[in-house]
Amino acid sequence: MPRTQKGFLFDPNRCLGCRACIMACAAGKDLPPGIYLRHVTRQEFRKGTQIIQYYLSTSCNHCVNPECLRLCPEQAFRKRRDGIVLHDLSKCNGCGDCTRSCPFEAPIVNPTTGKAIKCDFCYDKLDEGEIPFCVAACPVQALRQIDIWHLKSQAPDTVKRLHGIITLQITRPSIRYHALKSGKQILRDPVRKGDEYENGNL
Amino acid sequence: MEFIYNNICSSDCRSSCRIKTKVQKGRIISIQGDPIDEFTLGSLCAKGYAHLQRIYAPDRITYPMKQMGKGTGNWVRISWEQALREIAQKLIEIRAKHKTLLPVCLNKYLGTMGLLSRSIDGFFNSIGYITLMTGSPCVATGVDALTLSFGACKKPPPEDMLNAGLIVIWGCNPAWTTPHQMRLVFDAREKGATVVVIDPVLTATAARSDLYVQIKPGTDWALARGIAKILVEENLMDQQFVAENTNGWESCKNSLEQLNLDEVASATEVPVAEIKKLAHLIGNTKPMTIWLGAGVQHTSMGGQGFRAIADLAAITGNIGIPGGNIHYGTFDSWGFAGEFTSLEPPDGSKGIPDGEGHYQHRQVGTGRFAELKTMDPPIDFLWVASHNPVAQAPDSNAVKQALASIETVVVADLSLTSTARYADYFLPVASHYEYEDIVVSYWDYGAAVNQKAIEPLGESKSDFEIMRELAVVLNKLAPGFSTFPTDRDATQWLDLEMKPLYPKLGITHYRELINQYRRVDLPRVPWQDREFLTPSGKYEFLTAPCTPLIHASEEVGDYPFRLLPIRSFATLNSQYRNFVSMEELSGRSKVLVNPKTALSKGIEEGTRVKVYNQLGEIVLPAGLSNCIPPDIVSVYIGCDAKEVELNSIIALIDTDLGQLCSGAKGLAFNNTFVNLVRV
Amino acid sequence: MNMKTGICNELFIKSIEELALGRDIPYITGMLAEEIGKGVIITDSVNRVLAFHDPSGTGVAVGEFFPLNREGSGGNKAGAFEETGRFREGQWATDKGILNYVYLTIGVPGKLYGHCIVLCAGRELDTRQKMIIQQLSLTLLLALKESLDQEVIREQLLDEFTYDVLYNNYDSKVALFEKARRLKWNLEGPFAVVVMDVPTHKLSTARRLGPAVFNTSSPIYTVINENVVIILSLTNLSDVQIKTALKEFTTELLGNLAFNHVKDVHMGIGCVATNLTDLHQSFQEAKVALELGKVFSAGDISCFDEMGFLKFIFSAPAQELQEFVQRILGKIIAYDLEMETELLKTIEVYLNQHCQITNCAKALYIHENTLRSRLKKIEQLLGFDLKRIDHLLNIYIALQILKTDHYHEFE
Repeated sequence: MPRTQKGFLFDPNRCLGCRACIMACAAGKDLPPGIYLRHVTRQEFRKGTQIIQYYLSTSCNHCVNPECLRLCPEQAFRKRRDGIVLHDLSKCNGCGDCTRSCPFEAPIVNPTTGKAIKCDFCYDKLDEGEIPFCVAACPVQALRQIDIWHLKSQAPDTVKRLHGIITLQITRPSIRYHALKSGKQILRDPVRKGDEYENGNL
Repeated sequence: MEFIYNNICSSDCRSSCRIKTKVQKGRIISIQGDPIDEFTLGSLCAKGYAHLQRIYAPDRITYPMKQMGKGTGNWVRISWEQALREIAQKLIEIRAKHKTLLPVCLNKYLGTMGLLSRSIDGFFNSIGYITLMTGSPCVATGVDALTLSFGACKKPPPEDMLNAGLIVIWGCNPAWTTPHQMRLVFDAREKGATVVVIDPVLTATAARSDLYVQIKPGTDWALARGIAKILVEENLMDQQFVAENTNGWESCKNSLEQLNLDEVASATEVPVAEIKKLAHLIGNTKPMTIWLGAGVQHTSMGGQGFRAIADLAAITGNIGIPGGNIHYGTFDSWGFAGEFTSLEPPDGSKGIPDGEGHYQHRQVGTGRFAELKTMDPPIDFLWVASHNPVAQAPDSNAVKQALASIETVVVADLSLTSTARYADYFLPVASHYEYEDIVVSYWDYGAAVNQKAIEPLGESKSDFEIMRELAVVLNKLAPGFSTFPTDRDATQWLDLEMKPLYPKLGITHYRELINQYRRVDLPRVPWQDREFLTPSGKYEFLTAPCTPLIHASEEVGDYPFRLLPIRSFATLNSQYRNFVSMEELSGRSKVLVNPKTALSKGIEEGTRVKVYNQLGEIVLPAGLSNCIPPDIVSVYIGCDAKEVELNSIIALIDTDLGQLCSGAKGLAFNNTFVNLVRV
Repeated sequence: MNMKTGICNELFIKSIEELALGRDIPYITGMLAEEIGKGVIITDSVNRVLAFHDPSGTGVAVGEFFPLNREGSGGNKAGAFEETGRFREGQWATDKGILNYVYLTIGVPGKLYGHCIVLCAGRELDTRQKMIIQQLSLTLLLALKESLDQEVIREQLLDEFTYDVLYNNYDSKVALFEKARRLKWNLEGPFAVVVMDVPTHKLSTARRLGPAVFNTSSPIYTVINENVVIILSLTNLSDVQIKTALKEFTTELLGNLAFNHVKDVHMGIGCVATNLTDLHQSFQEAKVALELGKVFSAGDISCFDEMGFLKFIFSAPAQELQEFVQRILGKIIAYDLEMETELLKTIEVYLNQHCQITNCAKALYIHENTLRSRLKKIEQLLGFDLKRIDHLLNIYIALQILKTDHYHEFE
């Protein structure tokens, strides 16, 4: 297997917040109801008089510096040569250190098995030349799988973080984003810049 | 040994996704989108991927039950034999007593779009003239509006959006209701199209638009008229189209001349300058296509709103051209034979005289449950199928009261819905994976066979089997009671119903649709021939005067907030709301409130809030969002918790249209006003 | 190569034959040195001394690297090295005094393989000697190319194997040890892992610039994900010795890098790993130390176990750190976004300027009164008192955490 770094490319300008990715993963991986390996969160903040709203879909980011791999007492994590971080169920003792260590809350303890579980990039599908469930499910191709090493040729204009979100980059997550674009908004009740703050309504 | 079956989601949705179902030892082990589907390209929605949870839901009931006292929860398992015998006896009893079956009422809607569910209507046609709940809580208003303007509802196929230079999405949140079409919207944008969203709420779709116009709910009509006025004044019109293909232009123009733009601005709360910019965009970008959602029509002026918006397409000549027209809905892909619906009752049956020496069913508008007991003769027997009116009809409490007062209520469904709780008999219906059926999409016109992937769970049966067996029991107890051809099996029915569509699908038997994607062959561009189906043969402009209506503002009174029920990605009406996973995914049921409103009411994120009006109250945790304007509060349809029924505070208000095509006025779900208090 | 004479010297023909017979670079170097009667040093592309033959007995000692003075040659950018076949001169400061030397670049257009250095002044060489040097440099070019090709293959194997060890990517420990032995790893622990950040185009150079020996065995130099990674065997070293040895090692390495024009170097060192199978942890620690060191400008070298309060903070679950930042600074971040202001930057500079109004205003190029009103706004938004040390500490820590978010590395 050639060495590379698999990762995700996420386009907030296309994501609809429809959660098909989450459920396709849950169905494909046969997860118990209520257990998900992917999360979609709505981001909302104000910029000037405009309201910025977008959705963010994240799972394990298969970090270059995986904290799970560092902190797991059972050495249950490994990183393949293609950069996919895998978790070995047979070594896991369910301590949850990985859950606490991950900035993206990627590994979770599955209550039905008492062991950690996390996104494995559908490596078995990948090895068969297929794409991960989440990527295949996206109706608008907002989520794509990429090769971070060859990112520049695949998607030249990408950024490492999205506006308004605090993310720790120290683990070097293998996710890139398209920069967020916003259209024009005609709002009925536009908040004048700083209105809320001037009135002391904090 | 694994088997793969072809299925299609039968929920009432634009996408009608084709599904590949994997079955092992008689159990479905996985479902995936079918990549041969040219509209979905093989992706399903969040709900679709959760179908397994629906089929094997812990709360699914797979045997008939009888409730000892409505609403008591004292259910007793009974056999099919007992259930059907007792129900049949009830019907026989009613006919014997009243010499008519008018006290029998059928309430059926689109819980499944499967063709076989028409057997329910067929069965009731076969026993006599009954009382039929008609109309559509969803599309009645819009269908009437477009029929008045165009003569019929016709739409372009989904891909025609790629030809548009301007896409106006009006009162619709396809990001959550039709995600697959968003692919085409984005692709069109990449080709250079501008995307405008007009919506009271900054939805997921609005957030991705090039221009979002936040409109005061219920004033779509005024905004469209305002834009029209500017188009006329600045001559941004297609004079030739208007002159050759329309009717009523002079009076429409006159009424526009009377219109005061400042009044439009104050009604819609969109500034005049912005209305002008929007008008310029519409007038200068051709082709323009308009996507009309359900939002506009669920207001009291929704029909006029639809027509006023359609007029914008007519004024600018965006009708009958590629990349133009209105994306709403069409029934043209449903050109079935009508074998079920044309079943005749036995000779001598009596109903409501139709004035031509025949009888017909008595009709009552959908959702108007309170009327059932005041009719003469009153309703003694109600059959509810493919519908959950307690959750879906306005004023849930009135629905519950009506159900409680009717002597016999039969509910056929997959689980004990909030309606089923008020039933006397619960009949377990098989999921659509458990019987062969056909679904034809009203959006992309794709026609697909839904194969039987597994045996019906437990004792459950398809609606068709239930109706057929009831006909058998009835005729055994009272020979000749039903004319339902009980020896005809489902395959024969499907073949008969589909026959008229075969040439349009290029097939000779419906089973040829297995493993291939076929669409009902409808014109790529509707109205290309400019032959409108109105009596005049022309496009009919809305001619009603503008001024009086614009001054008619809604009563606010004690309830200053408009309650907008909005659609979630996690549910389809009340379907899927019992999924544990969906409840979690949608971040719990919430009442969405603007932070300003929250501040004035002392509400914070997560605070439990009582939302109340003259009809009742619901209590939900608050979710704060700037996407909701301060004078609006919103609750996701179907995301209400199990014991909370959103519609218990939704008022039953008629829209302005609906009777023409659907037999009953539409329902103005968006005209409810409430107040809030933290609890 | 510029061959003015057009005549093949006998020695050249012989050297080619010897090379074909399997003789190595030192042997051919010896042939050349003996023939011209001068000291000859052959280096590779990174100036590592591969052979030194000194028939004239200068008695001078040469280190691992030859301090080739290539001033004015435009650095050693790929493809921009000096013309081959041309003799240049230089001076070498040795313990025996300044020595003159003449050198010739060994390479082909676009690729440098090394240098042939002759210890004498240019005028001491006659035309024939120069021709012999030029011709034998051709032989050495072939030898160097062969050895580099083998080195590249070896590096590839090593990189893959080291990747697997450091990322836990193996199934059987037995197979792991077996493979390590074949690749001539010193399997005796404990180990130290050093992760080094250098500009991407310098990676292949930098990995070859490390000292050849550390604590009696050869260090492993490898490249993983755009970092040079070094594995050192610490066998038989006491804790104090480890510190000293690592210090010496890194100093030498940094010296070599600087000499070869490799700039912007940062290193991270993990805690000591007892076994081969613990290396992955030390590797991750080294990377954390590296990243933190880069963000907090903590010098060229950061040791994980010396990260002080930073390590203390970053051993907390990352999720909590994010929440902490949100809680402490969330309001001014939101305010900055909405109002397009720079409150966050203001408070950061304010703390960096030790809460000195005058200095801070200067650093921000704003009027002191503007600064005061900004600070007041910050206090009002955060509900903090900027005179209270506990409040300041919270803000400081939150800012430190936030810094890791703004960090941009090259792609």
